[in-house]
Amino acid sequence: MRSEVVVTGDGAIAAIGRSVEACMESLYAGRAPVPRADSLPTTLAVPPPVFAVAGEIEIASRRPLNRTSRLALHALREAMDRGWGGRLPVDASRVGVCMGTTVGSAFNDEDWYAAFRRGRDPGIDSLTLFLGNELSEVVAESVGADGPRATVVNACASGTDAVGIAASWVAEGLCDVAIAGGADALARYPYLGFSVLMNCSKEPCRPFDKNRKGLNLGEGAAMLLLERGDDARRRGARVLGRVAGYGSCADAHHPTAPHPDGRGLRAAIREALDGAGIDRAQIGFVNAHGTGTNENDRVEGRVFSDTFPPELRVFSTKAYTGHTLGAAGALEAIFTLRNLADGRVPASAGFETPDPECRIVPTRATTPVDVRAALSTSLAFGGSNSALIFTKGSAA
Amino acid sequence: MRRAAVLGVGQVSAAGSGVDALRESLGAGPTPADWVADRATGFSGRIPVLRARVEGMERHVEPRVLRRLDPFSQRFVLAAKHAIADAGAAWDDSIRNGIVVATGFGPLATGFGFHDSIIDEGDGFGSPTLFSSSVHNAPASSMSTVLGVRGPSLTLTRFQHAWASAVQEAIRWLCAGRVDRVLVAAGDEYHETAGYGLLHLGGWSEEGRVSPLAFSRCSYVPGETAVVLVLGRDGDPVAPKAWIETPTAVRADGGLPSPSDDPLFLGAKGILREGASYRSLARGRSVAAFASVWGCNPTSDAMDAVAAIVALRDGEIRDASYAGDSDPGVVAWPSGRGAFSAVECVSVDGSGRGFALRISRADAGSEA
Repeated sequence: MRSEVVVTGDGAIAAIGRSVEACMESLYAGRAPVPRADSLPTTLAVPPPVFAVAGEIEIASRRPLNRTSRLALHALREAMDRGWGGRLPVDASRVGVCMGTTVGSAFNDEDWYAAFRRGRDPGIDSLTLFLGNELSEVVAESVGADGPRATVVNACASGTDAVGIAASWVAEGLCDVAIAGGADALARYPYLGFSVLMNCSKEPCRPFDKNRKGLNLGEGAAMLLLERGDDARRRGARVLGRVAGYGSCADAHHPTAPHPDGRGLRAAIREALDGAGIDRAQIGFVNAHGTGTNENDRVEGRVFSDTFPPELRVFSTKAYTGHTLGAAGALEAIFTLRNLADGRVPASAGFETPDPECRIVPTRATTPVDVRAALSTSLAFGGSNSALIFTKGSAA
Repeated sequence: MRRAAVLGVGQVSAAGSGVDALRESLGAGPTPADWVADRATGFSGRIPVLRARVEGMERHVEPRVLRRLDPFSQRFVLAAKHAIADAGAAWDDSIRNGIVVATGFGPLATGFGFHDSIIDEGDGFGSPTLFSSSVHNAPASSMSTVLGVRGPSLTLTRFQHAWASAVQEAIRWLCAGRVDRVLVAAGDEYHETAGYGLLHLGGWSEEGRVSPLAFSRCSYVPGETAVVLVLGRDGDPVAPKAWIETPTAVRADGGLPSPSDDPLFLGAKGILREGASYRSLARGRSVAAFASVWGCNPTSDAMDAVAAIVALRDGEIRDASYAGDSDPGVVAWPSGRGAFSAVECVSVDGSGRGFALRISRADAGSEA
């Protein structure tokens, strides 16, 4: 990063909680919700369970909103209230918006399509709802932001990339502040897709465990407010932490499986370390992608084992939230920042038995940490690998 | 000014594939559309579609590679092969190369193909191949794997202006020294659900031809396009074909950022609600628009950049695509007139907001 970029606001919603505080409280208490198999309609004989956000998500909006957008605006409201007192701190033209999503970018109304296939006239309401919910537009419009905007669709790494790209915009002066994050609602499309790929576990997921059987999907949203450190201090803003480094590299290997040696992930971590200007030994813990799939966890564990000192603490929060796809990277970025600030990391829920193939043993309990820097990683379909390094913030 | 060297250009569209095919089509005028009978009209009518032509793809991409790719990704890989060949340089398997892709709707047909497999076979029997190819970043993944691109890979989506966002990111990466070269790409494809949307939300050209400079009427024709530019830094050992600058935000009511005598390529697509904005931008400028050659989709403005590079390389702009079919007062760039060193490509949406992309001749001066 060319100049210091800090986080001055955050907001989150997931199955584990409807605010950052609620999420962190559950994480530290080790309270992983039990995923349910009846949240999505399906005729699968044994439906894999998922992590749904309980209750309605009420958002006042002139624009009809789909569930992904409502999740996003719920998290945004929390972030805006906490960080910017509910209003933009600079001229609207200097506010960037960079969002990550997967489900939110595709038209997935099966009932509509089934009617269309049968030659019926299903009407345009569903299409106009889809066209009116491009995520970066929805977020920008809701706060009146008028600077650069982008919606990242790098599959499961989208949220991580959105934070990294927005931080780069702020560092390079494309905008003065940015709203970065990700959102995705549960949907049958990825649910059935991951199921036919045999990636879904029929039980609660167990990242890095020897007996892991796959992932559980989830839904959620997370938003981070970014600005330059000098500007934040001048405003007297509370600094939650710094986005110190970002890296992203392709495996160039396979549409769905990670490179067996983690080639792209290693390169992404190296780029993030170089950008942060810190040594690998200074990374105190890693919030891993840790989906609970056989290949992801094996590759990630090996890369961490090869790259960092053995005392490194590693955990995954997927057994608390499920895999929230385009939201995951942003959600885990917030958890990482809060862990740094709070001086503790959660237990890697679902983990019991070490897997020699993974070469790491994740945290078994909430653990105190006194470190300056931490890493959050994402691996995605298409061989995308992304890494964010955060460092501790300080009071204004 | 932040700019990048355009080292090579590739495209796949109704105009065929590669720069030479496009050059030929630009000279020939509007491309005849296929009239498609599909469920969008309940088979009661036909929709004009400018389908991408991929004849001879096997000459450029190995059949064993093609077999693994869905048609959407195939077009991107073919366009990338053309762009690299156009650059005339060896393409290394390198971590110093990156990819940025822009798309509006992603692999539409592949995605609905997965829906079809679920509806036809049941929840547990969807096609895993279609699912894994239906993610928006499938083309980036395919190009990365086929071409050995191991640097950053980014896919961006917006229903408008995704191409400008992709160019901005690509140039930013180069200027920041993050990569040495970038494949910056854009593309979209047709599916009958898009036809249904058009039927109800705007309509299409009854003549089956886009008339982009006839601002007062709807003449939309959906088209399939895939564009790939190889971008490098100032000083790249490969001689640039042109220079491309970071896009500038424009508003139709505020005019363009700076006055210029350079030709203005309008990304006009025959969409009625955008007509007033394009009319406003065209005032006082000599313009050209070529959507009748390749059709319309959320990222078809990337084709304007390819046409601009072709024009700058050839030193002339071919005008057959819009002759005799434009609003009164519109000044079309005179056929055969030379003496231009840059082209501005402008694309706006219904609200009049958009981007200008300036592309200049290869012999334009070094960066200040």
